[in-house]
Amino acid sequence: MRTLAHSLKAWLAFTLIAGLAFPLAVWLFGALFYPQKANGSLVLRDGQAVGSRLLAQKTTGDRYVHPRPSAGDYATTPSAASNAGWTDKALRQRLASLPHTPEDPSQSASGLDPDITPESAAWQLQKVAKARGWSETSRKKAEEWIAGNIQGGIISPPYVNVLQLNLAIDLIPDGK
Amino acid sequence: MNSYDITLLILLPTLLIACTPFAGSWLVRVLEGEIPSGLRWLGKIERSLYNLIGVAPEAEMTWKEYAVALLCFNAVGCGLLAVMLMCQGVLPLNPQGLAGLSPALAINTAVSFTTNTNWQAYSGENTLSYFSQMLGLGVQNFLSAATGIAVLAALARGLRNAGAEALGNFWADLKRATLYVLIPLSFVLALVLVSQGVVMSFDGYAHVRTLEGAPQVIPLGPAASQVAIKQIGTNGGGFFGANSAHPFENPTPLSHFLQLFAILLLPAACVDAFGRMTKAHKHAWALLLVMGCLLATAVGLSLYAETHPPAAMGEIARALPMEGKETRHGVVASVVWAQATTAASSGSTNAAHGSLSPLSGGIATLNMLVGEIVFGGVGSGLYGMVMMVVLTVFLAGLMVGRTPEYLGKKIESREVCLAAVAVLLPCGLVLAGCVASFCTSAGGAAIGSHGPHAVTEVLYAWASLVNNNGSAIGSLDAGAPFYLWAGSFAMIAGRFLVIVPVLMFAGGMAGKRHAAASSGTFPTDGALFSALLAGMILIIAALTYFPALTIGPVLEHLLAAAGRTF
Repeated sequence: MRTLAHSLKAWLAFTLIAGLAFPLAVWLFGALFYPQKANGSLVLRDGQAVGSRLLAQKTTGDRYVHPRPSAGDYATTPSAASNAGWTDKALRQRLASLPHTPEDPSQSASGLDPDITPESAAWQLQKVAKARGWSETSRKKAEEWIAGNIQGGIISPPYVNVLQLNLAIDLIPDGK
Repeated sequence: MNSYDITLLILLPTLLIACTPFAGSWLVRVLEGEIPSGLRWLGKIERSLYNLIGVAPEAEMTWKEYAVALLCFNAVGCGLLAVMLMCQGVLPLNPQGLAGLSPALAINTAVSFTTNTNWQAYSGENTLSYFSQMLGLGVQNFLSAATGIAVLAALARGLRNAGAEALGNFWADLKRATLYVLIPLSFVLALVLVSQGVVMSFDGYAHVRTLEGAPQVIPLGPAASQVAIKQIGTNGGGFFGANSAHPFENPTPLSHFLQLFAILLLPAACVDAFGRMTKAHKHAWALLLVMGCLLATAVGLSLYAETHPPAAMGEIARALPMEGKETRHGVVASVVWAQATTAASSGSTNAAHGSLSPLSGGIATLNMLVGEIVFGGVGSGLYGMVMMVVLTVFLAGLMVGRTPEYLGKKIESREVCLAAVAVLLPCGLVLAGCVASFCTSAGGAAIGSHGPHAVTEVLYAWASLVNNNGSAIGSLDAGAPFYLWAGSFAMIAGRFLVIVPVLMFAGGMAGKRHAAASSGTFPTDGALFSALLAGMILIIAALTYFPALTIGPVLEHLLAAAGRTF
């Protein structure tokens, strides 16, 4: 009985320290120094949130660069992976049915991969330029944006954030 | 292999080797009751905790008292967590209005987090309130890791002390490990993670309109604090369903690297600490060498397998390795993580393990099957490894016909029996679980893949449950009642039916006198010992699991090479 009482009291004390004080301290740090990141890295345009920099969003048509395919169709609560192994018939058929381009046809682990490879971005930009009726100058401008915004490359592969790229694309007027 | 891959492969082990002695000596000082400078102010909290709970930290415990306190504390934590999860609907910090969990899922989850397994039969973003995550799961993340450290400390004292059956005080070990090791390390890591974009918010989910005008829900929550301890404490339970593949848990290469480092840091430091406490530092580094070589071999083989898809795959071979992986992590870092998280019993994942190549998925399974002793869990990896060492020393003793000794104490039949139980019981449980999964309709219904991959899926699940890893091949229906109940049993048995023999062993050893080393003593710090130990680990795993691995990952590899699909 004494051990049981010790256990209950210890559990309560640890719940207050490790379960309440510790997360609150981390939260306070985030709220003070990184409020945007701590709250989901939301991206605002004209005062309206248009998504999170860190979560892929479903994209159709050729006016925007697409993120990688998502096993859960970009659902967020929860997101999904295919979990398909290398001998999975559906996976093999899916990959075989897609055209062989620099665009990565595989589905990511989170189903919300916010990034693509620079090669995929450059490749997709051709389609975007056509859909938007861009001149050569505008397309070059977008290419320069990609070149200047490649992340990683030191201890990870280089990658480009899709939402940021699409926002940059929207800044270039159509038909010019 | 690109330059950034090579940088990662060099940087990770270098940093780990450099930091292990510091973390190890820190751990020892803390466990011996010294408060590290800089954390003195926490000493007040520790003292008031003793007063509150009513225990004296100096009161030495026998192995029985230590085991009873440990089991009682874990049972209380598990029971209260299960109740909390069932009642989350009426508790605060639940902006999504999520309902309480069913008893089966609540008990499975409570057992999972209490045993440092963190097997997850749910996705946090649509199942758990912030209250449950933070005051429930987060707390057990700390306490299960601290329990592992406590057992390690008791074992080291048992081997060091002579004549007195005293293993230290469970409550003191628990508090010191939590206050001075786990919380400070997690705090530092959590701050860096927040700066990288890991969410830490109590707001409800955000609703936005995408660039194309479609609605999107942005899940939030107090994730950074929990992600930090999940890596530091080798717990591995994700705040979100996708675990460390989710961009909100692991947004950048830096967050990725630090989490990977954190998975291995304390398991390595525990070995170093054991060496310092038992005055057998060279022996401890021989253990680290064996662990390091086994992990390096696993990484090397699986990197080769992952980056060399069979020629029969044709054109899709280029895309296949990225299936189930994230662009910002890439193939190499994901494979390294997969091997590290299964070798150390973290179980947090940055890629979908079901989509690994057959052989690297198989090697990840093997990492768990050897008993989570290649680094293993915080504390638990070391004490599991010591049981394997006892069997190795016994085997060496048989060969030369002398009574075996370990760290100056005689190993007798009681010790060998206990070590055999701790090593072989999990093996039996894994195989029994696999048999039950294939031979019952309830078990079969949960299998989500076909062909030999289904064997890998089931073997992986039981290896993970019994050895308290917690990762899974996601096609398995972990929420099926069969896995909820049988899995709960396996996690408890795999955890506490190893801890109790280890404490019995420690108690028995504490009562023995040190014998002077003689010419017949088998040295436990040389190359011969290391090779014998590595051989022992692989032979036990091979003898137990060779058939299962053959009809699972090996067959899958051969059939994939032959172009077969299922």
